[in-house]
Amino acid sequence: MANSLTELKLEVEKAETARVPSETRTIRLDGDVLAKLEELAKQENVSISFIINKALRRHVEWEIYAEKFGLMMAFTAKMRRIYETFTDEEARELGRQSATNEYSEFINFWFKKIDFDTTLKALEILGSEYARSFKFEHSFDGSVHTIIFKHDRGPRTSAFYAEIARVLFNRLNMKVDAVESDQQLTIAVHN
Amino acid sequence: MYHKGTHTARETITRTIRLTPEVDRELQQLAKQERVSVNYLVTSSLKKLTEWDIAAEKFGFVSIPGFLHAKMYSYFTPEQAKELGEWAAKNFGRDFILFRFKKLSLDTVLETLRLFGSRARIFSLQHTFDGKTHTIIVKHGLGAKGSVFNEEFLTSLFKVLLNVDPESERTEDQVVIRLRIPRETHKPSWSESRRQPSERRILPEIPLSYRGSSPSRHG
Repeated sequence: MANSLTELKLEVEKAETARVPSETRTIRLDGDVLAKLEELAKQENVSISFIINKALRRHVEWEIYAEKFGLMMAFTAKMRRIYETFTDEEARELGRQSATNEYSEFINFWFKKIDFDTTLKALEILGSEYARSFKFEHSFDGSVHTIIFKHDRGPRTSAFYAEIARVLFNRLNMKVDAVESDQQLTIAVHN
Repeated sequence: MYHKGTHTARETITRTIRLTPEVDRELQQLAKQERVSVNYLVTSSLKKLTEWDIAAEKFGFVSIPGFLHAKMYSYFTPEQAKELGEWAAKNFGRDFILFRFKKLSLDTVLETLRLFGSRARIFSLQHTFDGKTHTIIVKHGLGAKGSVFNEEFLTSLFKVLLNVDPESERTEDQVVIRLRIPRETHKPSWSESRRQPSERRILPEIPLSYRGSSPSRHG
């Protein structure tokens, strides 16, 4: 690690001319990192500031907690292969166990309590652009919450998530109706 | 504000960036907790972005709880774990290395393993090279079937992708790979036509451990 990376150069000052409230900070970057950021900004057709802010937001909102909680990354095609080796009942049993253990621990770790809002929020985080466990969609018509888990990993994955949803919401005295398909799980959650 | 052009790793460049107040505030809190400078947090985060995050997102990595992953392996037979390891090396391993580095070589395989350890947190990796033998120790915490998977994955990476035959041993949570490199294989042969000086740096000659990031105490 180059020493220069760790030398905080400066002070923070109010940016007077910005329309959106912001702070300016002066940092020292390795040349090759800056070159890659410039290349990335060009590819994405955005400013370097945008990319830096996005990366730092990800760091403070996700990376720190993900590392502490013990989240690891897995290649999605490998996960599909793993689920394909399970029987339907094995996938469901794993889902029930995971909801009781890992997923409950995740909600408690992130939000310090388990209720409907934090359960929903935890699923949203797992479906966010950071975790990418699935694509998450939620809507509420005034009486029924409809939640979609788009995972693209086959029917056993749908079975796995269906059981997770049942355990997580049933213990909050809510009913879950699930529609499982190969690439997606849709659930309706209501009292 | 930013100067376009070629920058080298040795250069350090001062840049002024504009941050949203909440990100700046959280960075300051985090720096205080971790006892590192804000500059360290910013630069390490940006290094991770350029080194790993972009490729991981494009390539389709997802986050899962480590314990859940370990539990999944318990459903496998040893044969299934072995078959999955070989499949992962031939497909995912090869594809990721080519996607990220554009070529298959000992250097890019080792660098990929380093990224899997330090960035993806797939395992904890130690790599040493004594001038003749590369010793790679992978501690994964996935249990006996996970060891079968990792042993097959690692040996297949070298056998199938590089045509070299490593020795391996495994215990319940760890796999050790020893790779003797004969002189001839140092010649450009594994589809690497020319080894640039900068690429040499990724073959460490002293023990290095990779797991997460241990914050620098520079201030």
